[in-house]
Amino acid sequence: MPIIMFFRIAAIYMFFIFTINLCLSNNLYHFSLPLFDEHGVKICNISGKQADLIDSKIFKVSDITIQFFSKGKVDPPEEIHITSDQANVDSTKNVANGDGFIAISNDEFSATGSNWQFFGNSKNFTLNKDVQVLFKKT
Amino acid sequence: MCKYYLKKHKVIINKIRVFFAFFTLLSFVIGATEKLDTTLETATTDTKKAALPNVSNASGTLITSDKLEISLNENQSEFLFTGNVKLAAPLFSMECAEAKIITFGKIMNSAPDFDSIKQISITGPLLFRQDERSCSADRAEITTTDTTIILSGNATAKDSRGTISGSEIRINYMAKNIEISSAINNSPVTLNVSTPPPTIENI
Repeated sequence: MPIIMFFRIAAIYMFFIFTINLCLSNNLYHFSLPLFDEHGVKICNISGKQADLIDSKIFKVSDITIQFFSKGKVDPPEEIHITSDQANVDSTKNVANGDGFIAISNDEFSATGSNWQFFGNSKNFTLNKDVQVLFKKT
Repeated sequence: MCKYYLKKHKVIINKIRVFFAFFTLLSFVIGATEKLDTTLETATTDTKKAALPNVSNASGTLITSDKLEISLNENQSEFLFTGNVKLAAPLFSMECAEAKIITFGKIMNSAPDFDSIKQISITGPLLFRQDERSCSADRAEITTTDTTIILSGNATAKDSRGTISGSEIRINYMAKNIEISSAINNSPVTLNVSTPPPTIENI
């Protein structure tokens, strides 16, 4: 009887712990977030291994990948490809930055560096360290 | 005795079975997630490696610097390199303090041997090297469509035959020839030619 009571209590305890973790979780894991324009055409896709909500508007994302697609097409090809091992994303200002590695590439060039900032509205990048760019010869 | 207890507490025993089944299932889920993390880590590392420019087989122009500002645009993109800028093109190399590069963008155009680069503007003391020839100046403009480099401001070209100085040096990096201009205030072009040392045949 005491053993049976122990299992009952353990099961109830595990259930509550699991439920509480779900309610309090501010993390996303292995996520993919597509963004669309007013015509319903996909313009951007953000994916990552883990996103932690630091405050109400800033996410700390690990292993982030951002893809921009060409505008105005039904099945838009990828225009710019960005990867970074760690990024702080401010969703309200549409900016991101990170101290670590970043790689940016498209048909014209491939760039790598670290200690970077990205301004999503203007598609401007700043790399402050270890810059290396290859302009591709087609 | 055992059979009696099993019959009496049948419901409770079934609950224990369900409980253990749940834990077993949970452990499988956790194990699968960890395996997925490992797979993603490997994929991410592979992505980083693939993203790095392949320097050993550089099919293009490679530029390194301390800092870079990129402004991407559909028509043309601008790249501003600052600090210890080193440019390695297929036909020549340069070192400078600052370089601004404009690319063709989506416009269907290309330049011989540069393809995506339309124009390069260089400021600061610069050093240009092509084969045995080296040049220095304060500024340089490279127009890839006509394969011309214009060096201005204390421009000097030096090779095994001598040294030439002027206000402006024009280099066709495809034909590998140079043209020297004098300054606006008519300061002269200076030419220093190295004479070869005497040999037995010459005497």
